Amino acid sequence: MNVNILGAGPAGLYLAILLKKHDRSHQVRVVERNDPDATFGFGVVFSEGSLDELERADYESYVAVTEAFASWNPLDVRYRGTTTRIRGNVFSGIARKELLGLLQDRAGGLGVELEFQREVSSLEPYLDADLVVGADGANSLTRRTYAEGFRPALGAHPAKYAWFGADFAFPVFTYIFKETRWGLFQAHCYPYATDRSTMVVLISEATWRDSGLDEMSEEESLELTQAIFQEDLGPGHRMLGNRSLWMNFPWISCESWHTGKVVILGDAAHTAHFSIGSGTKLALEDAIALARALVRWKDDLEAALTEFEMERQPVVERLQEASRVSADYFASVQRYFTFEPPQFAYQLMTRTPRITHNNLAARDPEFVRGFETWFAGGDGRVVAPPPAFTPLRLREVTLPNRIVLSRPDAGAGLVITPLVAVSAEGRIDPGTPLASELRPAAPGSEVMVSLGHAGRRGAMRPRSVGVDLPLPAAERWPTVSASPLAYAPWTAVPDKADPTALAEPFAAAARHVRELGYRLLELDFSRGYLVDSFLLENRLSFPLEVLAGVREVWPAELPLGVACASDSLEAVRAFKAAGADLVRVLNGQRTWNARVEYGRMYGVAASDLVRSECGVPTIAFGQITTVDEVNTIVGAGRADLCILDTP
Amino acid sequence: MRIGVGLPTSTPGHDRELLLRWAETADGLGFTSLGVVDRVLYDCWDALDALTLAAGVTDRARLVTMILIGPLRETSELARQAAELQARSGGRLVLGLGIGARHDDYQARSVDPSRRGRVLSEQLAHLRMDASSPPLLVGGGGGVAFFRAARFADGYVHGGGPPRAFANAAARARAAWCDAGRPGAPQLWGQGYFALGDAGRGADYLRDYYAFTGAFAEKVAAANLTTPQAIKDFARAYEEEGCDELVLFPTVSDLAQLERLAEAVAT
Repeated sequence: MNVNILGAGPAGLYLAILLKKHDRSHQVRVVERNDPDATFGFGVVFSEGSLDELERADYESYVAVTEAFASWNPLDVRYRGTTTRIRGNVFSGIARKELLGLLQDRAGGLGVELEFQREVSSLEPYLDADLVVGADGANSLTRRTYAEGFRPALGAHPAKYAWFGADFAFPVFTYIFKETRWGLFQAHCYPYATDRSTMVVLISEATWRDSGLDEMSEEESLELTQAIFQEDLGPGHRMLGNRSLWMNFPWISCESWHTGKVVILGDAAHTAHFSIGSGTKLALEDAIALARALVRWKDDLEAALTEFEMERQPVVERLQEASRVSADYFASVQRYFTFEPPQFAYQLMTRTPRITHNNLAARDPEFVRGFETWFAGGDGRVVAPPPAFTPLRLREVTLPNRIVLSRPDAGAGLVITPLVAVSAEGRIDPGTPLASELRPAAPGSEVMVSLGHAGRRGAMRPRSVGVDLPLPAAERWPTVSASPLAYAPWTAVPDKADPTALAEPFAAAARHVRELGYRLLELDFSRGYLVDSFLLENRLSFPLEVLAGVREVWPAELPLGVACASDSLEAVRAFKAAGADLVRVLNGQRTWNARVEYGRMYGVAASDLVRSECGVPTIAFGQITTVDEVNTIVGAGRADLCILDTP
Repeated sequence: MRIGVGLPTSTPGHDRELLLRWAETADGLGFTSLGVVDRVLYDCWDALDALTLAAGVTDRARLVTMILIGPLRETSELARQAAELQARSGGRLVLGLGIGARHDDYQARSVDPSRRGRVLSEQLAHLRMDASSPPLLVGGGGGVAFFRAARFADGYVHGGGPPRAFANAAARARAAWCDAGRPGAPQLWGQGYFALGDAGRGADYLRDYYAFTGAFAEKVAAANLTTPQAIKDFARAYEEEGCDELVLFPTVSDLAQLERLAEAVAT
């Protein structure tokens, strides 16, 4: 087979090595625009588990590369003048130049034709091969040339970042968070040689402008950045620049990675944010999968390229998704600057769903034990239960744990009832419990009664049949809403609500709930029900009147919750000011066609937003299915309580 | 997990005789359902006509659309047809509805695709509130489809793919069910393609049927289940992920395929 590979980065070189190694009769040519020893970007990092695949694919280059590695397993989080160390992570760094040099040597030794300093402005001269490989990076000419076949989706992360070096080796992977008068500067630093480190610096677009970096030369930019991190560099050390330009991270994904006999891999086909340190590993794994598929389907190129894609795309997509979450975390990390250092570090480590409390405990049991005792109150004890089983005090009520269920269960820290209607016309369906018919509180788990009024989502058939399906005309009762507008195209138009008459039933119901012995109460202001219909029109006075009326009759020593959406943080702040102690964050169903993207822990980001921006305890809901997830969410300060989805 | 089989309504060489014999044989072999697909711009049987034929020669298997492109059908006519088929089959119809994957099917029927989600929701509401409605399933990939299934239907029908993709969709269908406040759990239906013998013809059919998806067609063709072991593994994995009923669709119009499939899933 005759193969032309464009780009002598890790993906292109490694593919050339594997192909030539498998069959010396292959003609493999690699074309590169730069010099063999020209490279930008200092060191590369491998933070993704094991490199066994590289060992199996080509032992010789594996040995050469891993011998040149700087490897370490702790990482440091420098935040608010403290350093938190977490062990048990696997990191390796190597100078990009050295990595490429080793791969070039290996490729050359196998008889790969390496052509450097060859600028490729058109693919035309390279199309005579049996296979054309675009390993030409994020700005891939190959991808651009055949965009119709690859169907790329391109984007950019709003934050600015630049690659720098440092003239010494940081002891371990180090995250530095530095507040300046222009905003936050963060550096992700890792050593890659005995006297060198990479420093990737991240700032917001606003910080980039306010600090003047947007108009500075490379030298000025380096000087300012170095001044900001001088304390962390230590005396006598300096930062290094090498085309250290401020950029936006490019998001690249392609529907297809091959078209005809042209295939792309590595950054040309997909990017994953550098904050999860996987780009180079993904590129090398792509090369392995492609070489393997070409061996297996040696007479059927289309089958080989299809198999390559089918194997790699799902893996890459999962990592890309995690990298998006990670990028967004670092972009909004200032939201968490009120956190104590242990929790800040814990949250950083668990920023993507790939690392949970259990994973972290396996990596660094000491850190997690210390964190658990801190979370439990830090009163000098040596051990404490994990976050999910740490009590939560709300006013005078202490819940034994952080797990919320929607049906009675002896293990739950809290049970939330389904919507309990404040009046007959406020029922969702004929089976909706009425406050006036509630049974007295029973011994066992604390029960929070959720009081609500269905508004225009009332007079429906039971939810065993479906949701928002109007009762037959003869069985319906009149419904009310903030405005006479139907909830859905197939539901009835409600009457316009008279707010003056509708607040009192909430207070009356609250009084009754108290008399029955319940100690927690929630007002349901969510999901397009009556009170939410006002919020949807930005009318805050009725919801606040309801809340104030209830707070007045609900004992001061008992907590009062609100269930509402995270769309208006201003409204949530107003609820807090009016005496709400707890917010259950429920998005979706506010309008009949509201979109919710389901997925593991899908509601946690909204809870996190409300909790950090409004400073109020929250209950998270949404595909939280394990106690491990509850530990992680509560430990990371993304919620105070979690509703566990159980079948 | 129950295992059903698709009817050969869109594979090359389909005809009335094969359809009848296929349905009758499948019913006799114990497949629990007979599935049909729905396409406008493809040489295939009308989904409900095919099920009507099948109803006449079967008496146990359920008759399921996976899925019917709801917005392409006028709702009251669809309700009437469904009620008729339901009566004729002794209550064996399961109506799976979705918006479908192709815009050109909409153009062919002069239906505005921009309103298809809304039309489908209204259609589902109408069907669900009709006392003679069959059980309903909803298909589709986005959050809206999962919520639609929870709001109006008895379950969710997945569009096919590796077990991992099914697992992901199943988790989201359950989450939507929980989000909607429906008691219990959604019925989860899965599907796959197979060719036991004649793998090349099977792959060609899939490439052709999915040609509108571009490069994706090759992946569907490559994923065709072509050995008894592949079918067993696939079924086992679907079962582990909580699939209630898996319907395996033929890619070759040959009755022998059906018997080989029965053998493959028997053990």
